[in-house]
Amino acid sequence: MLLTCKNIDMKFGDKRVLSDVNLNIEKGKIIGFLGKNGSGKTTLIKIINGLLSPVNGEILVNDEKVGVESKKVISYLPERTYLTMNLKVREFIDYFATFYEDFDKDKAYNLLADLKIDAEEKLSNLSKGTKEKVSLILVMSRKASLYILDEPMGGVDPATRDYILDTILNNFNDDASIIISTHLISDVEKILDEVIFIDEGKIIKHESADKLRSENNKSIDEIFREEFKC
Amino acid sequence: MLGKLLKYDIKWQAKRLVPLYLIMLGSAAAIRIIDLFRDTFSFLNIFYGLLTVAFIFLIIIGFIYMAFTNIKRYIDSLFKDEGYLTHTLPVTKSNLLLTKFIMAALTFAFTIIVIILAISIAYMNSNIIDGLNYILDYLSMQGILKPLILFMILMIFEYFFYMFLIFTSISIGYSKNGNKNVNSVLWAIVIYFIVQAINLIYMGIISFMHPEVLTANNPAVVIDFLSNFVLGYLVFEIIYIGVFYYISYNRMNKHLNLP
Repeated sequence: MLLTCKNIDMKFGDKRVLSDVNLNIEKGKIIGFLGKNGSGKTTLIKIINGLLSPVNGEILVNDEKVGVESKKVISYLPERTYLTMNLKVREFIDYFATFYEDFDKDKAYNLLADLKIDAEEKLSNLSKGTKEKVSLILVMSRKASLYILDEPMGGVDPATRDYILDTILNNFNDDASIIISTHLISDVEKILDEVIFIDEGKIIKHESADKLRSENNKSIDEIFREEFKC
Repeated sequence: MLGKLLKYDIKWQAKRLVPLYLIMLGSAAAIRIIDLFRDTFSFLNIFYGLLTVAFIFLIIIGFIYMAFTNIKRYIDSLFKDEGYLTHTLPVTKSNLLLTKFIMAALTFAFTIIVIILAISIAYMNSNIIDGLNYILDYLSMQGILKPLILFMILMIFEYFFYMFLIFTSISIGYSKNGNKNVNSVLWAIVIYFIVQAINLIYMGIISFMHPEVLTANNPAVVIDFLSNFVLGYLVFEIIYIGVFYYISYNRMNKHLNLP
């Protein structure tokens, strides 16, 4: 099993945000991690990446606890702008190449060239959408076992969203898995193998996307809207 | 991996501190040049005086700025948005922390070297060298040199003590859900008072064990006592720094709480 979450509980003060979360992710899957705002998606993602410590439970990546070894095989795109160092795009590529043995510099430069992004430009001078693309390029240029993309298409135009989806599909290997957390379900559902619905810190559904569509005769987006109707 | 982390922190610090160092050295050179000509052109005395005052302010501000850049780097790279990048690197938490502690030491050392170099460029001449040698000989004859050296070493450790106290209080404050800066300041105050209470107890015990110092007529007795007292205080500083490292590591490892 690539990723195992066992009995994960998380609290912020008195507020329980994750409750007995159990999850198994196999290799070679594209998984949609779907839920309303505040349902616990980002919290669980942060725990998997070692950015938060759960109150209870255990996360295993390739049967190893979260730590240096798991970070070598996870490529993570946070929902927020995290490349805040005042560096040029080229310098960020060098940074990633320095710390990640699986980083493919040639792939990164090719992807930049496709988008006509100048590697000598400072990241801070680029538009929001272009920054998102550069962040995604850096993440997808790694030959990781698990890609975790938290709201990769938030706040970007539809054409950029299509580019992001194409980049995701064309640049990960069959042995890897991708977890995509997003609200833009209709854009992303066509590429999903599995879907996980999370609500109020609990996993309420984890199924094959095709099976869910055929059983309900609806799109994942429609099923989500019904499930989480306000 | 520690070397790689240090490389990027050194680059970050260099961008901010090297211009400051160049301004310091440039000001020192300007003072020296003006000094060479002020006997001939008396109006230069005004500029000499103003530049000297500015130079002193530059040294003080430069030292404060160096401490500030270390604190800012600590917060930004470990507890703000950049933390999402830093804490997902395949490096240990201890290496992340050690990098910051080492950088605090390195930037301190470099800044002191530049300050000494700048002062030498601006003012050093044979009269001052002779004067310094005379003072050192006098202090040595009086038996004051050893405690003075120990005291200067203690001042260096005091800088590290305060830097790492700030790092630790930030590590604790930023592990909270809200009011991170307020919590950091509060914890700095709490830790400071705990440490001062321990120091007072130490002073009390030492004074109780050596009551003869209070009534001693022989300065050598007092100087010897002070040397041993400062040495003991230095040991405490080293222990405090070790405890601060452990607390910071523990908070980052088990209680990291990025926004």
